[in-house]
Amino acid sequence: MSADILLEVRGLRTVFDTRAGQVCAVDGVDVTVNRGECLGIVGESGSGKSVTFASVMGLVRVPGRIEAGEIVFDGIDLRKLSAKKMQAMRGRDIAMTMQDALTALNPALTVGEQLAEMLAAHADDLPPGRMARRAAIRARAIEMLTRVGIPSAGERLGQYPHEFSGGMRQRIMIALALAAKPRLLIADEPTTALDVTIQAQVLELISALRAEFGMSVVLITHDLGVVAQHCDRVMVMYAGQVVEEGPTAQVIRQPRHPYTQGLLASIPRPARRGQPIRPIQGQVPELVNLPPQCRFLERCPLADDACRHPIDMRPAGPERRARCIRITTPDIEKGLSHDI
Amino acid sequence: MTLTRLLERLLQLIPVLLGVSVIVFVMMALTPGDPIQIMIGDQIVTAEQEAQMRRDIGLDRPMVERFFVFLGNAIQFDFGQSFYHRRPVADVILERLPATIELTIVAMLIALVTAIPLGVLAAVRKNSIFDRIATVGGLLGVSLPGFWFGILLLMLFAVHLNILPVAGRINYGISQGITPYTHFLLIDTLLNGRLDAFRNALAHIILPAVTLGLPMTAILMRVTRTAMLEVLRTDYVTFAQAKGLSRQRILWRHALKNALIPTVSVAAIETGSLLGGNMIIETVFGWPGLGRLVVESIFVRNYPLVQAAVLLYAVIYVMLNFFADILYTILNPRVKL
Repeated sequence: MSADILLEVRGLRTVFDTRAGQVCAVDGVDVTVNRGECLGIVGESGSGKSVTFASVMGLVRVPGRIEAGEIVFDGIDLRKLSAKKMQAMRGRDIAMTMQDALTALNPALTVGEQLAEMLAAHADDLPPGRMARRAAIRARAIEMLTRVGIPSAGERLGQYPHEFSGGMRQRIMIALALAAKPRLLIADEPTTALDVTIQAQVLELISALRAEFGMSVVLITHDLGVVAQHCDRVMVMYAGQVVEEGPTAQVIRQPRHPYTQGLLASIPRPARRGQPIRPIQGQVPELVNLPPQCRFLERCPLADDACRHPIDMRPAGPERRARCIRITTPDIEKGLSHDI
Repeated sequence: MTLTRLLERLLQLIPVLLGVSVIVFVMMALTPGDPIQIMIGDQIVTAEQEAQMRRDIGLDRPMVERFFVFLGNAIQFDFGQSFYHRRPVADVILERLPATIELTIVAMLIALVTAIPLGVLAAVRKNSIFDRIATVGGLLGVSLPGFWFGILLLMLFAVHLNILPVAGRINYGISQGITPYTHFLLIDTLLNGRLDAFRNALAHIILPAVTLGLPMTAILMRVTRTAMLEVLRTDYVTFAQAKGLSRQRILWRHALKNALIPTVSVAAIETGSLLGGNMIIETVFGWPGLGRLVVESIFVRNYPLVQAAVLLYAVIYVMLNFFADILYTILNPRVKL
């Protein structure tokens, strides 16, 4: 493994046993996160992007379970760790923020309590002695809240989450996630629940903290615009599989997979004023008993009988890969011409 | 804000109490049986003596008049004379009340202490053998009639095993020389430094308290389990896990603190229903409390006492509901009174 790689996921398969059959939410996903980089994960609801990283955190809920795959974080195979050791890594090495801070923060505990317990669980450099320890935790909690932009943090430690505005709550959640200075932050839809103006502020904050702490960030979103602005690389997921990955600028300028093309074409843009927005036709397939073929087949304008067998990821340019057999065909090239 | 709310609650008591008094008064008056006849029993009295007795306690007046006299006196906290005891009703009730309160509190504590951990465990191990046993046990707990279950317990522990007393609050010999500071025997015996008496009182209270508390235990366990299951699915529990907190901390602090909100409210309200259970349990276990007094008073048509006791029950019930509201506010920072 290269020294630059912080997280490497290989062949991850996470399934949910339901009455309708086995739902394969994540099917053979590979992810590589380099040190210090921001990786964007894009996909619709149900594409498996959140489940992939819940698997990384070891937080897949029953009836879900990881069936196969390797999750290596900084040389440690997380799937082989004991529950105790995994718990110690969560928060300290790998942190996560959730979509809606209002539901992610405990309504019955003050912000100060929630920060303090996090620090108490993970900081090893606290001074001995009860009082000194408490004072140090308090000082660090105030420092964290101030850093994420909460004014008069000291007075607000005793307040409950509902006493803050939506943007402030999001900042508090980020402060909580980053309190133990993790090396990897998984930000699951950090802006979806926010107003547009607050969205930009929160993303700026995450970017600034990434530079400051030298951590890697995985930004899970369904907003390609967010990815374009903040991510070094992007991974597009569809129906439990990665369909395309590569450097953000290239993927957006020259999408190789018809699904990525479709996503880009369905974004309203000033340059295409007057032209109709073209949504992708059809629906994401049910993830139960999928036939062994390209999963985008039903919705793909380029599909034919050659697509009726399992498709692997294949190289699609320097540092790029895509899950489509038509990567090199003129059709693809034509398909993306409308986009620029 | 809280003060106005308190005042509001106290004002709400007025129509409730008025309604309760009318109902109790009418029901007692319409119940067949004549208190004078019951008092006379087998004695031989002249018609003149009987009429005199009737006049003495005011039963010769029309019902409506009697009601308003009762109401006028009750407003001044005068509930009249107990026919049977020939003493003020208030005195008789206050004498018996501590035993009932003591029994109720112990039953409630037993219920809380067993129901909450069981409910949490059942939720955490959902669908496990433990959860199933707890569910069936809960169903039994709610549906077993107290008088039957109490007698079963008596037969086992008092008769067969002979390790617990059959009836009463304390052995007469042991109770001598104990200064009643609070009238709660469990506390008084300790205040007097009489460990032997404390143990004796404790042995007496266990069976009635367990019997009385059983349905409440079952209900609270179900409420705790349901609330916990709901809370364990929330984002903040996932986020707490993502923070790397220990399982114990997540369960008992993050989850239970939220799950307790409905549990405690239900507990406060259910305590009111324990009062009703008291009448049966106190009769089964010969517990010298208010419940048994009321049952006996109904049998002898001791109108003033029953009326006063039922009014007291109503006040306690309404106050417990108010208390449940306050607890809910304290536990749930999102709600302000």
